[in-house]
Amino acid sequence: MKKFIKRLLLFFLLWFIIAGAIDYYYTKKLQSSNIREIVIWEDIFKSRIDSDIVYLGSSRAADHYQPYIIDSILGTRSYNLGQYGQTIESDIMRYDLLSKYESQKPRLYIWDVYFNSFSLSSKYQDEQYTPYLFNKDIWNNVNKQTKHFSYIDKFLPLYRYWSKNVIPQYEALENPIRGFVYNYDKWNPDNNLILKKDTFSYSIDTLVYNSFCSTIQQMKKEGSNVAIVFSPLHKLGQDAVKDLDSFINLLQHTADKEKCIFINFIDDPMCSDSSYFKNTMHLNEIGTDYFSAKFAHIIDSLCNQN
Amino acid sequence: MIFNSLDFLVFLPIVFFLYWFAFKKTLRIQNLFVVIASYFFYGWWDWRFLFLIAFTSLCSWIGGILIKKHLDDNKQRTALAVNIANIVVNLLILGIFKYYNFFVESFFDIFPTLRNDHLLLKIILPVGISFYTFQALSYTIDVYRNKIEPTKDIIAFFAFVSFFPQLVAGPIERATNLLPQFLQKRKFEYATATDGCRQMLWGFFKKMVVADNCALFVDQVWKDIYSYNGSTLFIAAILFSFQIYCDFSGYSDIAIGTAKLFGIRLKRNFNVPYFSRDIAEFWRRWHISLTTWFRDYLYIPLGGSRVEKWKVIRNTFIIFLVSGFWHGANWTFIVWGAFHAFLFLPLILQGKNRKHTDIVAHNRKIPTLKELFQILSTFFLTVFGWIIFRSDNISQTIQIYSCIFSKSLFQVPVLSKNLLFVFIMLVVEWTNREKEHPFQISIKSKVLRYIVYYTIMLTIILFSGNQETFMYFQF
Repeated sequence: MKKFIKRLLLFFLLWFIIAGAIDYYYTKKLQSSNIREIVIWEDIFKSRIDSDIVYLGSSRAADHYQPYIIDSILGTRSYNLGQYGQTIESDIMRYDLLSKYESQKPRLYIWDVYFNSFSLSSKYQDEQYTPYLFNKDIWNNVNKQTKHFSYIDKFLPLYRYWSKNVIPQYEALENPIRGFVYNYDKWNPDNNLILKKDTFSYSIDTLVYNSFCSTIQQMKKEGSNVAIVFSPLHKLGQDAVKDLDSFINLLQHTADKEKCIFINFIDDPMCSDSSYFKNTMHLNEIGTDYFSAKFAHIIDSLCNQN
Repeated sequence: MIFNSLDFLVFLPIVFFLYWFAFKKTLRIQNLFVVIASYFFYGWWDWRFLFLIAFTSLCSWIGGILIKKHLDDNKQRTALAVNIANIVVNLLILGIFKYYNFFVESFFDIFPTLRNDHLLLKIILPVGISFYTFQALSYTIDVYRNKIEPTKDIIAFFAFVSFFPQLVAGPIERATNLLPQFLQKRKFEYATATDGCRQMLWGFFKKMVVADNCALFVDQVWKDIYSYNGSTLFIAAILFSFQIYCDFSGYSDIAIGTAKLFGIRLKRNFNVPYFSRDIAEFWRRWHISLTTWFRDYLYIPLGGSRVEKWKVIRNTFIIFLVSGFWHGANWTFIVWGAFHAFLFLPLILQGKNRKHTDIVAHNRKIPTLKELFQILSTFFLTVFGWIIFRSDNISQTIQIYSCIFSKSLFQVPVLSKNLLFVFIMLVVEWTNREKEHPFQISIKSKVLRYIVYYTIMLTIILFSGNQETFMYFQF
């Protein structure tokens, strides 16, 4: 028995050394990869955002705002910080980190929200954080309200990469430009399950909503302008959300209260044209280009008015 | 609790140390600890069903004692009545949880006007119920047949029924093999324990790398069969064949390996079935503990193969239909059983069903061309069977068959990278097919051996599919 335990301990000790080294190697490899989410984190940590306009929000923000098109119209420099699968909490984390690492504050924050933004964040697509668990800012922020990661994830070598298909990830060739990557999927409503009428009812977590308001106040205090945007949502997607009007009213009310702009695309003709969408929630590359130009012109006219 | 979870990774060493250090003093205490650990293991999923296991165990334990008592008193009929009563009670529980809704639904399908949804039960299927029920049943039947003495040690008996490594998905143990091991003091053996660890590692590789990755491709194709051509459906069917093999045999390897850590020897459940040269050999190598269970408790009592030819055929059909139905309450399983019975038929008629009892290419590195042809033809026959098994219903099976047997079989298929993992698994299993388990590697260099272990562990972590539960839990 003694021999068995001794050998087993030695085996696992060696394993932890090897796994620790491989963990370190993969983490470094991932951190230097071209995966969109990773590139954005690296740009934040290395103070490379340096923008007049910053887009915050979920995957809808990530897919809808093409910085180059908007910049070419407005003559600005912008960056898309939209984050797949995440809610307001992670937007605020990105804002906090941006404030910490970027001395030059953006002139305008575009905060794209939708009916799921004010719910507590889920663990969906958490792998975008896994290479940064030893980063204090990420660790503390990600685990602030919802326990996304445990100490086992953090300290057991390679455990956080288990079942995450690490190799395909770091070989991904996304090469984002100013945080943006085109999505070339064609219209396929089946990609999204929200087709039935009134499938979803939005939920508002009071803590999340209050954090949203206080972050807007903070942004304004720092001298930045804020625009809350509800970007195009396909008609089928709109029908699937119960009481969408009251959600829009809430956004309008928030914008009035916080003295910022609210831009609503819910009634935009784009929403009825499937050729602009890849699914009911997200625009495709044609829709993105069209929307980005349209959005830039709206911002331009609003700036001229003021 | 499932083997491929962090919970089990914590549970196993704790139980191992307590078993060998804290509770080693007396056999009864050690057995009691096995029962507690096993109930904890099962209760981690749903504690309510622990009562069911306890009830099944208690019935069979009392049944065994009563049967023996009546046999000793020369009351053969009473002993038989007790045995039958125990079988009926156990099968009734199994029937209610597993088959009741199937029968009611089938009745409503035939008589739709009589449909009454209130008659359907809203119950979940207790994990592993078919496994431990069959294990408990074998005990009383063996006592009745005088093959084993009934035990008065209730703790040892409860440990026999609920021993956690094989509780939820087998191997279905016989009292003649497992119970005596709980009645005598276990000794820790270094060689057995290290071999157990090796077998577990290979089981994890098969389950988490091969099976779970195949599952990703298979599920994607099966979800939308109309979007794929015949060649892709055929590849998905092949991958499903490996998925189900690696899932189930992987579980068995982990279970047998875990048991070895506790000084317990479980029966071999799979013996490289995809290297079989005919269907009869396949069934001698696939899910051995269930096949032999049906052979001993159903096929032989029906007369086995020592009766007239037509009765042998009848018995074969009965055993395959029942075996199919054992897998689940769905017509697909019954048709799958019938499909294999039909494949068996020519072998019985020619009297060739015991032609291949040895391992293929014994003492040779590669098979002959004839053997290769036999292996491949047997494998592809089983693949067509697995299509029925995997389908949600018979009409889906027909759709897949018609698509495979069409011109689209010759179109370029969507290929899966998982074929590489399957290939690695097949090479290892072929090379070690004559050993007790395929990962009994005989590399003398310790460094090289460690490199192999670490490579397997790394592959499991970096390439495992999404942590899926074991397929056979549902049976």
